[in-house]
Amino acid sequence: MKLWHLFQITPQRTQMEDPGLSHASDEFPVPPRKAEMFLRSTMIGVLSILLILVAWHLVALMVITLRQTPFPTPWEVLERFVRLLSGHPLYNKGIEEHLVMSLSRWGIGYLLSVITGLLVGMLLGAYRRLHSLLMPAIIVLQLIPGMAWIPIAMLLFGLGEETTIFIIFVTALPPIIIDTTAGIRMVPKIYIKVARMVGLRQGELFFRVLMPAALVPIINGLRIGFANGWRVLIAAEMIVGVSIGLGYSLIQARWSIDFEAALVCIVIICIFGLIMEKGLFALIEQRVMARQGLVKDVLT
Amino acid sequence: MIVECRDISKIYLYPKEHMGRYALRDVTISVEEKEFVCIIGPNGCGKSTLLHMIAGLEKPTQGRILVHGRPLNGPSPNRGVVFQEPSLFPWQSVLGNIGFGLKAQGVPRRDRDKISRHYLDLVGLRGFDHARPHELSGGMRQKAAIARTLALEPDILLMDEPFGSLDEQTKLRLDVELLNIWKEEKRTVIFVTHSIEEAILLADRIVLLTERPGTIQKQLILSMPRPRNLFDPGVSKIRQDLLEHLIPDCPTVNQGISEEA
Repeated sequence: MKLWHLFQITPQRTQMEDPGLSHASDEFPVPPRKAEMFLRSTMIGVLSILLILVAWHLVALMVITLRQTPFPTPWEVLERFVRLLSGHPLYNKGIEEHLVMSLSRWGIGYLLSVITGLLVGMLLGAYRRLHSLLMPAIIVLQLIPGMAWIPIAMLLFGLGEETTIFIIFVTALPPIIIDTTAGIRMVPKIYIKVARMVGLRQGELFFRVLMPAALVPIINGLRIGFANGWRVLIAAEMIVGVSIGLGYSLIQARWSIDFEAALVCIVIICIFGLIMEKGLFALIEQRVMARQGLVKDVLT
Repeated sequence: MIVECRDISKIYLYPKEHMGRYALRDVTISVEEKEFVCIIGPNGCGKSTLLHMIAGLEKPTQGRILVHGRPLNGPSPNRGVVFQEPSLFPWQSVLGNIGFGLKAQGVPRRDRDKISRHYLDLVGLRGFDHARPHELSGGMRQKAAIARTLALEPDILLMDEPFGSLDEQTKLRLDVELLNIWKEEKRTVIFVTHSIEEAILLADRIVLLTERPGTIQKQLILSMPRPRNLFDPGVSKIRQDLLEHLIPDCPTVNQGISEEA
């Protein structure tokens, strides 16, 4: 399947009748409801964000009145955000430079883990011996918290970019392997029989049958891997001693008691995560599932 | 002789119970070129196993299978299988599914689509090129699966209860359609079913297997012209004969049939 197919919008059909059996009089047109449904889900999304902002504001007010300490409100953070965006530097760099740096660290680490994870996952899913041999190690890997890798990463790579990238890679990897493996193992045996019957070669079997058949669990693994990697990126930047990035800004803000800047960083982290989740993973998953008939558009 | 099975047996091992079990025992069958052979027998008699072994998807424990006089070496698009369970790929369109085997063999896109469309028309699914398998009814899915197998242009068509999960009227309708297709493009067909009616409608020869372990109980050559009428007296006689072999100790069946005859 090609990536751009996922973004094409085709009308959903319900189960079709055999042309020999069709009863035209049983069918009636239904007005399209796509726009309405889109509007409704957007409204709910906006509402849930508003809810978070209100809760935040209440906490801020409570802290300010009860503890007599300043606590940035959503509005103050927004003002600061706008000021930073309009070119005010934060720890000698523009906010967008911090963001781009964090994104590229995450991008490299995540890309490496996706490639490795898919390959290893497919092999473990296809070969039972390999699975019994390596799966326990992967499970153990999954149990190690990202931060625990810092000393090991520093021994391997010293201080710097490689260390951060390695930590992202190693925390994003296990869920990708585990879900890909599970997905491949759940592929119905009949698909493999069909592939053998039509004379498909072993290598093609992976990419033309096993992978598309396991796409839904694979997407799930990629999404958990993304979340793991993104979280640990911020933490790693806080500790590993880099001098640019959202995590670095966050820890600097904490030392210089600039809580507004810290919250701006947190908000950026949230926004990017939300974009990835809603704008990428959820969309792709929905598309894949609709194409395979795993979810249906239903009335009401 | 296009397919020959010589004394083949299949044993399944159950290591946990320290036991092996014959699924099929000493079966010898040969099938002529362009012959339509139906294999019938009760559930679990190993008829599907036999078909999968001829397909090369499973290996016989004992005995030899020869195709075109040569020993079998794994599956081949030359022996196309239509499976019992739904086997279309849900991530591909109907046309993509039908052309899947052709793509595996490196047929270029344009020829592939042309051949796929031909078979799509042949099974009566014209216009459903871009539909997804989940949008089709059960009968249409099986038709698409047949088109996918026919598109491989196999010498031998192996059909494993292809209409087994469909309702009676759909099954009969598809049987008739299958005969029409077979008339247009004659091939050797080995068709597994547990329905006596289906076998009588379709076959040049019926092979009756016993209960597990499956052995050949009887072979019957049907020379009546097609299309056959299930209520024809000659057909009723064959039906009775087959039923008596399938259920020898069941008095109600014997009585019911003899009244009708």
